[in-house]
Amino acid sequence: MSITSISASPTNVTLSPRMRMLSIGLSLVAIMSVTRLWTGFDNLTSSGTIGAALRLTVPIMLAGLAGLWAERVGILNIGIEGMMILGTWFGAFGAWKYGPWIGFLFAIFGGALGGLIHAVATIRFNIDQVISGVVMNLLAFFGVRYLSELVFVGQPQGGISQSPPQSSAIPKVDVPFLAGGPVGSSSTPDALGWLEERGWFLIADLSGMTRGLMSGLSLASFIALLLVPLSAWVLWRTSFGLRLRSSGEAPEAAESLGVNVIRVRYIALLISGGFAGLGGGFLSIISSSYYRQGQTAGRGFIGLATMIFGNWRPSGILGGAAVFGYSEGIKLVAGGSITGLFLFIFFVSAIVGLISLLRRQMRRGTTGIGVSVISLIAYLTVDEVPESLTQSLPYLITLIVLATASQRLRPPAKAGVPYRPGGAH
Amino acid sequence: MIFISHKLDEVLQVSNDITVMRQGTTVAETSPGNIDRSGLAELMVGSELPSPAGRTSVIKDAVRLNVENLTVIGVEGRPAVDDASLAIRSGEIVGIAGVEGNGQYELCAALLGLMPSTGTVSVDGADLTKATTRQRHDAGLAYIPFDRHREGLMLNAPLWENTLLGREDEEQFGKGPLVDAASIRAYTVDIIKRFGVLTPNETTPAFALSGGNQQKLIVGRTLTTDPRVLVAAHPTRGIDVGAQAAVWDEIRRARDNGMAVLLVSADLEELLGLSDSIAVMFDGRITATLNPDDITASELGNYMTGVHEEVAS
Amino acid sequence: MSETATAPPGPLAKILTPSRASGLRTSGTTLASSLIAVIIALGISAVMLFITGKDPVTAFTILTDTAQNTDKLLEMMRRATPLIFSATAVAIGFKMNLFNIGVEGQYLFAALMAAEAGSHISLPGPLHVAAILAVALMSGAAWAGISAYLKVRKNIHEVISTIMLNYIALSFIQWIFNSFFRDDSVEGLNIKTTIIDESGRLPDLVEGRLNSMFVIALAVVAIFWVVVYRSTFGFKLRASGYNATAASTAGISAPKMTVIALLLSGAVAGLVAMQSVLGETHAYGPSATPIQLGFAGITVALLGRNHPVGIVIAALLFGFLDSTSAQLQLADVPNSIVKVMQAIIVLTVVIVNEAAVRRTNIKTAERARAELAAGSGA
Repeated sequence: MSITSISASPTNVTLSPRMRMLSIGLSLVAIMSVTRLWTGFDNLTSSGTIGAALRLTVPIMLAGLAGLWAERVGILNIGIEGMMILGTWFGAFGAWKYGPWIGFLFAIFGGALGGLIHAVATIRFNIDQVISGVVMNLLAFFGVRYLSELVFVGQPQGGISQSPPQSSAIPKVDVPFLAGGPVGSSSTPDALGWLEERGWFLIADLSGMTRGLMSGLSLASFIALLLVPLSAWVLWRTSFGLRLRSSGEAPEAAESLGVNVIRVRYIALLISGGFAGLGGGFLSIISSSYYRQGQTAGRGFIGLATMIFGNWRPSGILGGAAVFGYSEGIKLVAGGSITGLFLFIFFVSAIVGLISLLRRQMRRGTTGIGVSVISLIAYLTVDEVPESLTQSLPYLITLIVLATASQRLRPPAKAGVPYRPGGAH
Repeated sequence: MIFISHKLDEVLQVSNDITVMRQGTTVAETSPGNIDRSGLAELMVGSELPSPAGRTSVIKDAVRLNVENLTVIGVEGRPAVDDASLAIRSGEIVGIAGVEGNGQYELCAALLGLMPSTGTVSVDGADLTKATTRQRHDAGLAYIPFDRHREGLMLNAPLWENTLLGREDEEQFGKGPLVDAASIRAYTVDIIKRFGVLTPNETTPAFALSGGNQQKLIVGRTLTTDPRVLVAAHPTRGIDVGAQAAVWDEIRRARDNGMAVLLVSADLEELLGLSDSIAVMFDGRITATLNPDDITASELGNYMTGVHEEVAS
Repeated sequence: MSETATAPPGPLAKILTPSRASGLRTSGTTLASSLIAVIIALGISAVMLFITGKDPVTAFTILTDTAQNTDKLLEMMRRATPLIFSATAVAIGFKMNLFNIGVEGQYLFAALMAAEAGSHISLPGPLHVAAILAVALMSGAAWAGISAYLKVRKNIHEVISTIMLNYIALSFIQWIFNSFFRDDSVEGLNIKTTIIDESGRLPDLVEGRLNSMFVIALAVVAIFWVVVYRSTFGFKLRASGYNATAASTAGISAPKMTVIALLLSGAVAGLVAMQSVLGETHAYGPSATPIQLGFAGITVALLGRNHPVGIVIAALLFGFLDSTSAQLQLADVPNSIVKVMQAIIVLTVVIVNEAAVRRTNIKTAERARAELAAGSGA
């Protein structure tokens, strides 16, 4: 099997990938800043929006990592949504009974339980991975309903579709000096907050965005974010990670080199389930203080989508999840500012379109210009996007991003292919 | 130790005693000292050793397959087939020699419209450059695929459905919008008989057959369309000598009736024995066109690995 | 490469396309393995009930009592009707290994469109009903068509796109309904589209118990059978499911088949809520139109192994289980156990079938060799 390299789109300026990402990111922030100044929607890059975005990013990111761990070992995990559901329920139950940190352990356990079922079904019994995943989702959905009926019904504020609220929460911190958090008992200045309020081009935006990550930061979010580099390190820098990925790229070859593919796959699916469960727990412990039916709202699938256009890499997943977190955050914090995004899309697509035209990539260029015209018209004519439509924003974005990105991505070679020892070629 | 193989050289090298079995019964017991390669093969097949050689030229002037400047961009963004041109005449077999992965698959896939390509392809003068795979089939371009399990068969489906594959739109197998099962089953029984496919019956699922018999079914399904041009990729790979001979015979018979053949094979003996001329593919390009009568297998090997290079005349 | 019989391809093909090689034997095995699976699933459910402190005997007594009640059997058929449609919709996709999880969004969108259209047109009886059904078919197909486009042109896996489109459908429907289609004369929770005229209603088979939509469901299943197993188109569909590479090598256009299969699947999905629209509420309403039938259809299709007869049996079984939930609740057994049971049944059926098919395949290969050996003299 040949390993295809992803060739980046041809460019005359040679930058290291990291520098390239950085400059693209900065440009996007600059465009956002222009949009903010133009429309007066300060919420677009305010620390409040970014803080909300972070809280909404984490569960999707964890779902994406869950997908990553499964697909890197060669198993499709459509059941992430279900494992997240188990996580929300078990997490809320644990947090309600024993406090938030124990709640997270319960959430991980719940998700891993789902991962185990998926593993047994697909590895031991060899049933189709997509089917097993879909059944997993249904099983989890109705299973927690049944459990709720047993445990939550009759409790104060509990019921078949929701748990009693938790009494304690995980502490939140403001970073001293930068976001005004206290040191000991004395207060410190809120430097970033001050800068943000000035409203200066780019500086206010960067300050707001950074402050959003530093004020009201839940320890749980912080730990969850650490899982991104941790996953990257384990998967790409340890021998276990190598064995795991080789089971997803070339299981036969891995087996012949002494890797116990079956065992590695079980472990990876338990980890995958644990990540999904943790994501669910985050929803029912951090994002709210109780379990509610339908709380996951398709985030498991959105996570899968971020994994796909994150090109099966942890950093890509974080980036993708941030896009969703942001779109949900803005919807939540500043629903009225959404029309400002039309202007943002206009700027971005117009620039991309023009550059592509200059490079004679006609098709991409005309698409970009077309999109920019449509979004400009939308910006000029639409006063307010109806609430019911903004709800579909993350799902629409998923489809749009996948449609533009999925052409040049490379999934692990054997993801979804059932492994039968000795079945070469 | 019991060593089971259809690779004759291996058997002769490693065994002390040799038992030859045919269709479930023992037909001979011997030892390596008492028999040579061809004798062993004869025992296995039950008749005289088939050889791909024994070519008589039946080439006519009319060009059936004409390929000009065909280029296929591979997955890595560089040409997998690089500016290949070929012309195969009626009754001619042109062999493609090359180490696997030098563009043979992409060449065939492009000819069949399975991969996007630039350049032109025509069969009997009809331009097929923009045609779909089905339109190419209808124009008389037939294909024996590289990998019968991946590209050729529906392993869980009965043989008659496998025969129908690719031919389901033919009028003889349809009753209005429905499949005429009786007719395709009878047709499959004919193929089973004519091509000597060993199977209990036409409703046996394809996976239950041995590789050779699966291949015979594919060859039968393909040749009974009376193609004008046959693209045959490894037509006898992984099958026993008996089946090999049967496949060769059928290809030759169709060739004698005017079919043009593009033969891709890793079996140099097969290439040298069947082909009227051999084109060598190296790194996506046709680097030499050789006359099989003037060349030995080892010389051919040198061309394939890029040691010799010669501009096609 | 060895000369022995080769292992069959991926499990999806095995589960989804029962080999018709040895027709009777296969259906016998299928039936037996499905029965065993259902019994295992009931056992697991009993253990679950027991562990969680509920009495399995009470639960199963209720099940058997319900089975002897004619009214309940009619309810079973009524509840089975939409399941038959949604399972058939899922099965059409499955036949070529397309997983249409978007039946949910497709049928709700179709229900809204058909109900709204039906309330505007006035035609004589049968024509009016036919027009509403046509709108439902087309709307369902249109919504599924988006996924088809995304799959064929943008290479987006249909599982992701149909799921996303489910969510998008929900908010899109809510928006159109609230902004344009809602009947403003109705207040409160029971908001609906304008009620469809008398001429646009389907009569009941058994007054107040069973609508004639059940007959249409059986007819659709029959058509499904003919199209999939007897027609040339169905052959192409199944060929693409058996082995997509071989099918496209043989000149069967994969994009074209994908589009047609998803459009057909969406069209049938459009009929899921028609029992409600044409026979019960005569309108679309957020709380009046049943939800979650699309997901139920997936389980029914899997349980019925995507075979027409299997789908009808599975739909009736699930309809029956659903019809017992009220009784269970009265007896202090949480009625969500019914849904859990259904999911467990599906999982065990899929697993047991996988094992059974593998065994059957090995036996078939052995038998073929044995028959050859026996007949080699002839």
